[in-house]
Amino acid sequence: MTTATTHTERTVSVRDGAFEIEVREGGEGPPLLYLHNMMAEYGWFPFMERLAENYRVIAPIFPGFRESSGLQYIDDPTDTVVYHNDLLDALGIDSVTLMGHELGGMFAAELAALSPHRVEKLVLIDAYGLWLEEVPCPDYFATPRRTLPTLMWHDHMSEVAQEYNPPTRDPEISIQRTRAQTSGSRFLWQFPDRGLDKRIHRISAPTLIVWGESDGQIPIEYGQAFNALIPGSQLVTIPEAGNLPQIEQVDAFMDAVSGFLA
Amino acid sequence: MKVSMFHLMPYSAMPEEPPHGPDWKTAGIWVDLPNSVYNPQIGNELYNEYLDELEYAEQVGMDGVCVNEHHANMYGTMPSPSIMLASLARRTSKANLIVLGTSIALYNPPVRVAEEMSMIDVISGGRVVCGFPVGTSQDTNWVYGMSPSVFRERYYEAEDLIKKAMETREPFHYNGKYSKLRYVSIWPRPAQEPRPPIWVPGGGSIETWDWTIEKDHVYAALSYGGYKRAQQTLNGYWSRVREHGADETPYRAAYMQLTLVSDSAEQAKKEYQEGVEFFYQKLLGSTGRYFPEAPGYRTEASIRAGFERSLALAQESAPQAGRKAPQGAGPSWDQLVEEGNIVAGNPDEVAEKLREIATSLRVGHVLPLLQIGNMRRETTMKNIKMFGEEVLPQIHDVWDDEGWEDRWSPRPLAQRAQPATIGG
Repeated sequence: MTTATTHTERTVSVRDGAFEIEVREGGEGPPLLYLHNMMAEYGWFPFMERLAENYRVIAPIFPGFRESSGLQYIDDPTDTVVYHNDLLDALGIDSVTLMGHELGGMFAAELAALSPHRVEKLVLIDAYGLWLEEVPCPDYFATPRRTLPTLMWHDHMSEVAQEYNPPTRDPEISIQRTRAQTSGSRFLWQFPDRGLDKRIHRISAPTLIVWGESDGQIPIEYGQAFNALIPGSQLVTIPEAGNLPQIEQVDAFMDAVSGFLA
Repeated sequence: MKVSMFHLMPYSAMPEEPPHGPDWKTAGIWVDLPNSVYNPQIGNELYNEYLDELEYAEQVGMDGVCVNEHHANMYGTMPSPSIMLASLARRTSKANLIVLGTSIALYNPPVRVAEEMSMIDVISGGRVVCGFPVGTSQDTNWVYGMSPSVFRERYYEAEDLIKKAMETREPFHYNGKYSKLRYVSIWPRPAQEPRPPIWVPGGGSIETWDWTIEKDHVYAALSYGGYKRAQQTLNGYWSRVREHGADETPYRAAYMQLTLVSDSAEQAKKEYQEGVEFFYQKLLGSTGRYFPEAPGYRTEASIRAGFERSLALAQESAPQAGRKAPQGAGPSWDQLVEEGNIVAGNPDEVAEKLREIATSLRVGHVLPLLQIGNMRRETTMKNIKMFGEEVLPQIHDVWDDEGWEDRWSPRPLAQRAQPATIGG
């Protein structure tokens, strides 16, 4: 799954060292910023490799996940937008193609809404950020860890699913996963809603919404809601994919994204 | 040694079949327990019975009575401990009124807690002990919806603000992260000067030990795991006390113990087995499948320590009990006696064991839990009576020979008003 030769890993210092951010980077071309999900898996996945054929793909780890520091400076959506502005400054990039998945999708939507000048195109993949009273999405944190894969994947027994986040007995990995859950809880605890619906109309970048048709974690109705709320957006649904279409159905995902980005 | 009766006020009319799951272990008795299960007719009896029991504890000579806070929970039905304490303030006259405790991170603004504690302190003539726990994960994270990533920070800020509000005699401003109050000047102020003592109920985390020592609060080990497991916790605590160079007065530590007194060990089993097993097998059986400890409830340092110490500590506090829900029926009376979860026997046996425990754990405050599970009035009253009349006189002097001053018991007003005869 990981082809280490094609990407680099480094630490980027943001806002005079307030944040020390783990960053993976690969490929050449216009910058594409990828914002990760709750799992914050550090692999360099095939979809990233494919994107890296045409883009300089930059995948930072959000503060409070893995070894990235500085979560104490981020309390709310506004702070995430300020942080991502500072991160882009630190990377020396004016504007990007922005892609965010799940929790990262929520951050991407916030950035695109409040700092439209920094976002050329937006891709949201099975994103958090909204709450639909008529279709309550499952409580991510109250879902037993053993049940979660059945919501996340179309086929949780498939090889990609099994390899993605394997069980561990390593205390350090276990602590790292708990840290990710804890940090993510700041934005998703009980409801994945921190008021994005009041800001989402400000998104002006061309937007593609990609959604796995079998997503049990954030049901397809949420994709439809994003599509209804973002001016001029388009929704592409991916068959036989759950919450991670970019992992579970790479070809279909790339087909959807390539046309939009071209 | 000071001895204060602890009460959980459980709801004990549990139906055989849970309404929302195949069995109680799966369904759980916390967080999403449907209140259709709760029968107010029985609740009316229970609350009054339980308050009667605590009032009787004063009469038999206990130094204090303890209440606590839980939410959406069957084993503890006191979402507001202040209400219980307020009620007790009127029908007792000298017992310490100890709340163990108020989950201060949950109150917004937290000065509400300072106000309530001060009110009860004034009503009771200065008999209040404030208890400020972090709160269980079920209560704070799940029921009161506080993200695990912020609630510890809120807790520290709330403690700081509440303490300051009770101690300060001039209006002040508090520009905190979670509380922004331009004008703080609580009315009434507490009767005790500068404020009631503060006790901190805790599990076994090093951070809590260090913090209570630095703040000079009492560390209260509240566990259903019994004295054998508590030994490890208290050993850890006292080694931190020495590390900090603080004095080793036993009064800086408190310990709760499930205690059952009768005419003989056999008789105790006969009378109390049902209640005790109901408590351990049913009420503590489970937090349910869906509401374990939230990720981030424990700090990473505690998780690391936990990996090392693993099992013993994991069993020590109530919220964790459900994570390792016992298979099958759960622990029996004999197992619970054997493992030190409960102390049971005739008055001499119980007194001897409690002296041994208090000395070994080095605790100046022992908090016997005397109503357990579905024990009802007559059974509990007998336990309280025998404890008060025959055990208490044998254990009160435990620390007298060391001559420590107890800096953490209330200092009541010398002159205290009493409720008048109605209409008089």
